[in-house]
Order: sequence, then C-alpha cells, then structure tokens
Amino acid sequence: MKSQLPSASASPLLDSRERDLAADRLLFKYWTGVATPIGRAQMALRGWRRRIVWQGVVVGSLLLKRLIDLVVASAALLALSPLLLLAAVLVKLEDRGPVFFCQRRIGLRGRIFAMWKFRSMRRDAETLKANLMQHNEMTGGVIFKMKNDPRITRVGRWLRKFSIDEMPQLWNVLKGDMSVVGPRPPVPFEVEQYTVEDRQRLLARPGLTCFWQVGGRSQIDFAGQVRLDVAYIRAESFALDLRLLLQTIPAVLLGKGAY
Amino acid sequence: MSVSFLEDTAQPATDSAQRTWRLLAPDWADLDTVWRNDSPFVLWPVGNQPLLAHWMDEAVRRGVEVMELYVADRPAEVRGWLEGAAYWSRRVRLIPIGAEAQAPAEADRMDHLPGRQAPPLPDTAAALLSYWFELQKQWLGQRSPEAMTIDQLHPSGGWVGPQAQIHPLARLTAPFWIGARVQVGPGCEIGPNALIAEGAILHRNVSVEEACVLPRTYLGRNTRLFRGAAAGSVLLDFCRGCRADIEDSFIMSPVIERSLRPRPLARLVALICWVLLFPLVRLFSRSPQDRRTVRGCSGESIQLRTGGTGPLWCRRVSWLRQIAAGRLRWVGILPRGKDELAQVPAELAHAFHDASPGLFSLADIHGCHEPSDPEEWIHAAFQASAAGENARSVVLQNLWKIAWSQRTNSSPA
Repeated sequence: MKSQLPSASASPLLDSRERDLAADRLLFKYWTGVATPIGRAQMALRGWRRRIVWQGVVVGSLLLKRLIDLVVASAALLALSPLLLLAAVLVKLEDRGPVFFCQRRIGLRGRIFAMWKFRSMRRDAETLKANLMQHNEMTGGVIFKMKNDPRITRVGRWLRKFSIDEMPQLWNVLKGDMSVVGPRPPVPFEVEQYTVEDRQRLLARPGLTCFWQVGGRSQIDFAGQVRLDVAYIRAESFALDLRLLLQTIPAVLLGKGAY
Repeated sequence: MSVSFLEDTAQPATDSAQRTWRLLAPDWADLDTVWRNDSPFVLWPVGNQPLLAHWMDEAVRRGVEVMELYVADRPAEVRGWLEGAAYWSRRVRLIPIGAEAQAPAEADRMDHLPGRQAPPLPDTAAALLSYWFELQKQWLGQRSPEAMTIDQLHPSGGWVGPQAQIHPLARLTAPFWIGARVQVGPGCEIGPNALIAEGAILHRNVSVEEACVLPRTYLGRNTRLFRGAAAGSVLLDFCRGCRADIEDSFIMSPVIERSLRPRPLARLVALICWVLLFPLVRLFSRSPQDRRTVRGCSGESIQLRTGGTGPLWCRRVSWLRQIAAGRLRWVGILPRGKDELAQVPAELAHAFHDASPGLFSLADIHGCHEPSDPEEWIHAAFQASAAGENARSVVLQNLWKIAWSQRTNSSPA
C-alpha cells in the first residue's frame, strides 16, 4: 500500500503545483497522525464507524423488505379472509375438485419451491395443455398463455380477473419463499429454456407484483418482462417497492391485462 | 447437490448433439502458496462470479444438458457451491479424481474464460496471481454494452452494479467494474482495469488501479492499491508475487470481521455451568491434573487443566471459565500449546492458526482427547478446514456421548 495524493477537494484556483503541495501536506498530516497510538485508534474508530454505517444501510434495507413482506402479507390475509373463504367455497362447489393448486416454481437463484394458488382451471388442465400449445399467444418466449383458454373454469375466470387466485401466495410470502414485490416466479419448464440473460431475473426473490404486473401484465411479451425484471433488480429500493405496491391496487381492481 | 446419472458413453468432450460436456477443473492447490485461498481455483472470482460460473453460463449458451465435472482439488467444496446447479437448470455430475491425469483426455480444461485465449499457464505461485488477474482483465474487456446485465454502463465507460453508492467527487476511468452495494467515497480514483467486488467500501482518497478488491473488503483513507488485490486484511502483490497480512484495520480489513471468540450467550451459559459444576467436581473428584499453557481464541496464552480420570466433562469443567472469559469456544479444535502447533505440518499450519480452540472437538468423538494423540491431528485438520464447517453440528449431535466418554488407552496424556 502506498500513500496517494488527494486532489479533488483542493481549490480550483490553485495551480497544479500548489495543489500537489497542499495534497502532500494533507497526506503528511494524515500519516504522521496515524503513526501515534491515539491517531491509530482514532482512524480505526472512523473506519469501524464507516463499515458499521454502510453495513447498517445494506442489512437494514434487506430487513426492511422482509418486514414489509411480513406486515403486508399478514394484514392482507386477515383483511381478505372473508373474500378468500368465499372464493374457496365457490371453487369447491363448481366441480368438487381441490380448492388449492400447488405448483413447483423457481425462486431465488434457481431454488424450487411450492407455490399456492386457488385452482382456476379444470382438473385435467395439464393433459389438455399439450393439445393447446399451438394456440400459444405468448410470442418470442417460453411462457404459455391464451386469452380464451378453454381449461379455465367460470369461477376461475372471475378469480383470475381480479387476481384473487394469487392470494394464497401470501402464505409463500410469510414463509419467505417469495416477497410482496419482485419478479414473478417462473415454472421449471420455462427456466430450462432461458438464456443466460433471461436467468438474471432469478437473482431477486420472486414476488406477487412487479413492473410488468403494474404496466400491463400478460399484454407484455416475454422479452419485455425480462427487461422490466432486470430493471427492477437494478433499481430495487424501499421507495420503489412501496410505489409498485400502491400501483398494483388499481391494476388489480381494473383487471388490467389479466386473463 | 442433486447428482444425476447418465449412461457412460465414450464420446468426445462435447458430443455431436452438444448434450454432454466433460470439463476438468485445474488442480493448482500446490501452486497457491501465496494467497492460500480456502477455495480451489475454479471458485476464484473472475469478475462478477467465480470462474466455474462462466463455464456454467457457456453450457447454457451451447444448450448442453448434462455436464461432467472432473475435480481433483477440493471437490466437496465445488459440489457445495454448485448447489445442484439449480440456477443454470443443468444436470451436473461431479466426479472427484485423485489427479488431473485421471480425467478423460477430451475433457476441456476450465483454467481460462470460455471462448477466450488462455494466457500463458502459471508455473509458480507468483505467476498464478498474475494469471488470475489476467483473466479478470479479459473478463472486463469482453463485456458488451449491448448485453443486458444487472450492472449498468456508467457514462465513463465502466460498469456499476445495483445499489452501489459512488460519491460525485470520485474519478472513474474505464475499464472498471464496481459490484453491487459498493460504497466509493470522495476523492477515490477507480481504474483503469479496476474491479471492486460486491459489498466493498473505499473510504476516501483511495486509488485502485490495475487491481481488484475482493467482496466485503474495506480500504481505508489515503491508500493506493496498484497491481495487487485486497482480500479482507490480506494484500496480494502481483508484481512481487507475495502477500502481506495487514493488522491495522484502518488501512484495510474485512467489512465484517469474523469473531473467533464465543458469543455473549455462549459465554453466559458457560459461566452458569462453571458456577454450578466446578465446586461439585472439586469436592468429589480427587484425580490429579496437569496444567498446560495453550493458545486461546485470539492467540493469547491460557492455562488449562488436562489429564485426570473420570468422564470428559468432569476433566474439562475448569475450561468453562475460559469460555466465560471469551478465550475458548464451546466447539473447536483441541487447544494446543506452542510446541504442539510447531509440530503441525507446514501446509496445515495456516488452518490451525485460524481455527478456534474449543471445549469439545470432532476428535473427541473418535476417542482422541489430547493433541498428543497420534490420530488427533487428522480430525483437527478436517475440523479446521473449510470442509469441516458442519463439524460443529456433528459435535453438538454427539455432545452427550462426548461428555461422558472416559479416558482410554488411546488418550495417553
């Protein structure tokens, strides 16, 4: 390690020679200061303070996100419990099948977890999917989507319209598999076909809502979804999460892009 | 890690359908005598991820479905890092081998970045460090502005990761890469050819040129890093091929210093146990014990009573006071004196120096209760190495058995 000349903080009015001299004086003062036990202790304390403050910011932001997840998910589960109960009864009454649908999804850094939803499709939906692949409306990507998917039940269409089918995922949020705000978790089949660039969306904990759920949901093509997910990971912050959370409410109530 | 099995087909490294890819991790453990990294070379960072991750990315680009990794250097660590290769959704079959020569001749060597010309291979410890930095520079040079990455292109031409904080008075010169959650203070000069890995802190007036700062490293005020690497408190010099361990934390240090001392709760529990048990044992036990001077958690000398007869917890009950004082841990390698540390093989000395001594150890499970036992050093070496991370849980699971184990013939002292 060598000493280095600080020059940015010097006055622009000084010529370069004077600036160098001023910087040298500062450096001399610094290194003679730390040569004494008190000076070393002072600098060690300042370094420790800088490390603690920055670690506090980094760890604090992670803890804050987890806190939001816990508070929002608990509050939403409590507040929406009558609606969720009604939805469960309707799903059960329609075809006597299971109320919930559990699917393997890919989470943070490729980890597989079980994601919960209200069942909105017929019980034989997976077997019918192979016959419907030719009608995939999701171009340029690996996701299967159809606007008038015949596998969706009547109750399911209503549940999907207002995203009520996604509400059981609040349990996944409480468990820590998911976050309230984050890229949607893909299914393993999709991820197998991802490129290296697409895989970057796995670098964030998956969530209930993100940029493309607020912006247009299924109307956005796959490449656009990946771009928006990467943009979210770049800009992830407490303020952004709060903004996306608030913007999700009108998007859900208007059923924008949901089918 | 999920290990997949495939039919053993005698095919080239990448068969015609690009389905199976055979790769060989270089075994350069003998060359790494300067840095003495805990990880094998394939897990050394090259840019934003370890070298192995670049090869995994390449497997995705090539559409390879199954990978066979032949690893001679610390395969357990490579397996642990891959975590089943879930991020890349590839099936990976890791095959531990004794030496590089045992790998199939057609296997591709992972000693360079995929698709790039390998720099001249290293033959000395100093050359290994320079070689590693050459790979870093290659990675920096090959980044395309068109590629979609989590890092963003800075107006000055370098790359900056998410949540990085760069002071407006910092001067950045391309090419450079600043990772996620890095803090760059005022007056800092970054680049050219500078790599600052995630979580690093550059305090003020720090210069990093032709150098790299490893994850979660703090560089103090008025310091200059040139043709070297800063890894916690270890400074690596690429020019001279040597290292320096910096003791002054205000010059450079890990952002989070790993404490070798026991936690406050563990110390409190030890104090309570000592207060309750020590008088009882002194009252009823008359077996004579020796006093030995050993090395504590932070290198200080401590006096311990050893030997004697009866169950192990009775013989070591006085050690609880040292745990309460923060000089010994509950679980660690058996405490050693200066003479015993001098007898440790040279290649293990570093690991033994860094490992904390403890009341109970992995060696105790195997009936070795003193460092003088001929086989004790084998268990201690495993516990002190990175592979022995789970030794703590193994010891805790067998705590009852260890605590009541009697002195045997194999524990002479």
